[in-house]
Amino acid sequence: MVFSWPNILYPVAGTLLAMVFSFLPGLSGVTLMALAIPLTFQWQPLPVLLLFGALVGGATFMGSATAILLNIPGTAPNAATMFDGYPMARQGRAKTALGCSAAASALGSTFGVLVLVALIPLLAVLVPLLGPPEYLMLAIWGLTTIATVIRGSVLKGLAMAGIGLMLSFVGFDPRSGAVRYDFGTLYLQDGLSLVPVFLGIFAVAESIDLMASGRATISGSTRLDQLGGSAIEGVRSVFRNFGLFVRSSLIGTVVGTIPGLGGTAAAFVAYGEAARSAGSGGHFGSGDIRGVLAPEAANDAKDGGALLSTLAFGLPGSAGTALLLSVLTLHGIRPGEQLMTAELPLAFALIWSLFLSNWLSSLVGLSLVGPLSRLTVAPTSRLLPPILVLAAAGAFAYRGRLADVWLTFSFGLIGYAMKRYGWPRVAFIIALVLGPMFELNLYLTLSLQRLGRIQVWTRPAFLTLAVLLALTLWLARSRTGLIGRTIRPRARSDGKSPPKPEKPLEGGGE
Amino acid sequence: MLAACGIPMLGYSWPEGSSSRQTACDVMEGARIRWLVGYSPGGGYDAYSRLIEPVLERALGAKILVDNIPGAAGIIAARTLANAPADGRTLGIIDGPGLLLANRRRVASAPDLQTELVPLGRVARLHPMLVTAAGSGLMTIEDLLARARSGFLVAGVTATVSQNFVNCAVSAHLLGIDVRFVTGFPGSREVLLAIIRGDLDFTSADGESVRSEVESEKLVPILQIAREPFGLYSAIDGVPMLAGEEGITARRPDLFASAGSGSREMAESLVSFTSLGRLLVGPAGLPAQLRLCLEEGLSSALGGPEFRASAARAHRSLAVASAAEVRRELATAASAITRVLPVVEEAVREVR
Repeated sequence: MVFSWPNILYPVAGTLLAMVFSFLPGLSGVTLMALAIPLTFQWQPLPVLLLFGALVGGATFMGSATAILLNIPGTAPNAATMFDGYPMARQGRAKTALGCSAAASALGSTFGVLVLVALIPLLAVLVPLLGPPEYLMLAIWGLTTIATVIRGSVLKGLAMAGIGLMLSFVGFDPRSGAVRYDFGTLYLQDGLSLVPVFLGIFAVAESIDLMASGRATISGSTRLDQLGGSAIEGVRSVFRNFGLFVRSSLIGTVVGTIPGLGGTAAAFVAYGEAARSAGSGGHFGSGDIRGVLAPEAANDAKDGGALLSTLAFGLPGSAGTALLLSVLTLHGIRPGEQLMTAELPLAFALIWSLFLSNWLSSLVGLSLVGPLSRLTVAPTSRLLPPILVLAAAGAFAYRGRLADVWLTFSFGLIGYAMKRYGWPRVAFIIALVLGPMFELNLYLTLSLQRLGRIQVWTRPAFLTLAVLLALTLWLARSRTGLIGRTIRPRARSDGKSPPKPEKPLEGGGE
Repeated sequence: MLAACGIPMLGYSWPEGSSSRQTACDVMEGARIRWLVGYSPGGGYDAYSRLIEPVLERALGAKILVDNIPGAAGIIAARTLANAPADGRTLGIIDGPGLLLANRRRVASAPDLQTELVPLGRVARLHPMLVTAAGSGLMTIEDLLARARSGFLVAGVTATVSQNFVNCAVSAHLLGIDVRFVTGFPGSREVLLAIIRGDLDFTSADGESVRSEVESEKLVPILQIAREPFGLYSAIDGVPMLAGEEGITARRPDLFASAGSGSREMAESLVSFTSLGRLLVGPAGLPAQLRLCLEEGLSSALGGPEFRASAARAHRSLAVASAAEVRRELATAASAITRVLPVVEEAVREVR
């Protein structure tokens, strides 16, 4: 049905369009979906689902390309890729990072789709198993990674995490509905918007740093043939770290089912898990390929998880699936039992379209690795003005609010100061992303437990996550201790000796 | 545009002043209208907006851009709308009862529906019902009362400023049930999942939104917050109504003995408040002729067969009303909210 003519045109066209849109920060595939809704209003459901499945899946890779090359996340979930992707670009290894990102995206989405297909018969039983206690445990899991990613002063790292948590509490209190820390402004009532903060704290801050450092190009090289690494090397790194890939994809699929925050949280939790499992043997934040692999695999695997809850319960797990839900309802398709039984062929059309678009975008992305990596040898004097314009445009296009542009540049200055004086930005960002998920689910869990409606210690999913969390913390601790005692710095995960981190990264403490 | 296209003006004529109104309509031709929705894509408000978008574009000859500004239970979008210039370029859809409640409860920034916004029409009513889980053993109001005799019940809602909170709080007050609320769920679907899991006893939900769950017998509707049956689908036929001559407060006063003699009035007030529905509004201060042009444009767009067919295909019920009707109902609802507000405030204090 999907691969027949002319049906195949819809996912192909949707993927290519989504790739173009998602290369422009702020103008993600979600923007394209919003624009496409009225245009497809009179279409039959099948072509609509094929097109929109591709728009959901086709946007992710290009968003990570800007994150790696320019330190600008195409979408919020791509932010975690910047932590190691951009340092790799600065070390002249953009091709390796892009290759790894493309392969991890394609394979991660395959993982998510396979899980989704396998679980369709069990959906009604499985999804309700995940409630506030399980989401709380995932949030704690993510937050504990801060301990792993902090470099340099622990005190500074904890302070930044605390500030990140504090800022994540701006807006409505989930318990009472009262507004907190809004300073009487409407703008802050719904909390700090993540995209402008990401754009500021990374893209703008990095641009200021490049200007201040007088660096000629992002990579330090002026010719393409001076760049190291290759796309193939990046692809190979996924297979070399296959265990990490599977773990990250699993995290992405599970966290992807969480409404609202799924994609972003998935990438950050996976990144943290990769950093923790590497122990002292990693150089996360300084260009570790695993820091690209993990969030990219999780980010694409999350589409399977997000689709799972969207199709079965009408609970969108990401911005893309929220618009998809809108399209489904407009065409008279109700998520739930009917879609998963009588209209199952339509559900599968959507799933295959998502699968196809993820692969297509990764293959096209791989073919573009060469031209894209030219950006890292372009003179910064020419590159920085467009980066700053793109950051401003992305911030404005995100919600159409001018205040978001001011927020971006304010956090740009703050981010530069953090980097300059060694206050870790990663700890701040992880806390900011996971804070609301932690607070809300802590409150719901405690309320339900206090009222005697749940017993967390009798919930299998909660117990499983608790054991996994304890196990990973113990492993991380024992590895760190072991390495500290006996093991010398080991070879890099992609087979090369670790590069000496650049001075700005040392200064950033990341 | 409207007259030139020969579009029938439902319930309107073009008497004196029509030429200046035509001028006002000409101003809208080719204009870009920002249509604000206070909720994320995927929900009912977004769906209605996207159904309205193409037909209103044709009726006004304008370009409409649907703009989702979710957050703060729709208040951010409503405030943005109230602050927009009154030039017809910013319109939107709001949860009438929700905004009325937020404003009366003095939630920061919630605009006054009667003075800061101007209603231009209504697209649909809401269909609030109390629902329980199929496996809970709570199949009727009597079951709920019986369970309440042995202890408190737990209800879940998204926020204390939601009308679902009002429905649960007032219904519990009428029935004399001790209810503990769990608030803060990210969305109404999450509340329903918690009900199905058995984490909560009951909640209030829109009958149209829970159709799948009711038809697949995961959720059980036990009370329609209405005077007349919603008649949306057969699975809710026979579910008792709260108010009206056929309502449970009239037929079974024994169930509401604890609320005293005012139970029927309270039930009527709750229904008057909730039936305000999904309203189409603009900022206050719209010039009279422009306002009439927009009202007529909406009336024409929502009354046409194309819109009705689209709504039917999307399984969206309609209860289209003119601006004049909405203004009348708004006055009734504003008066009704003052009656239920003390009960709501008391419930909020207990939550805090």
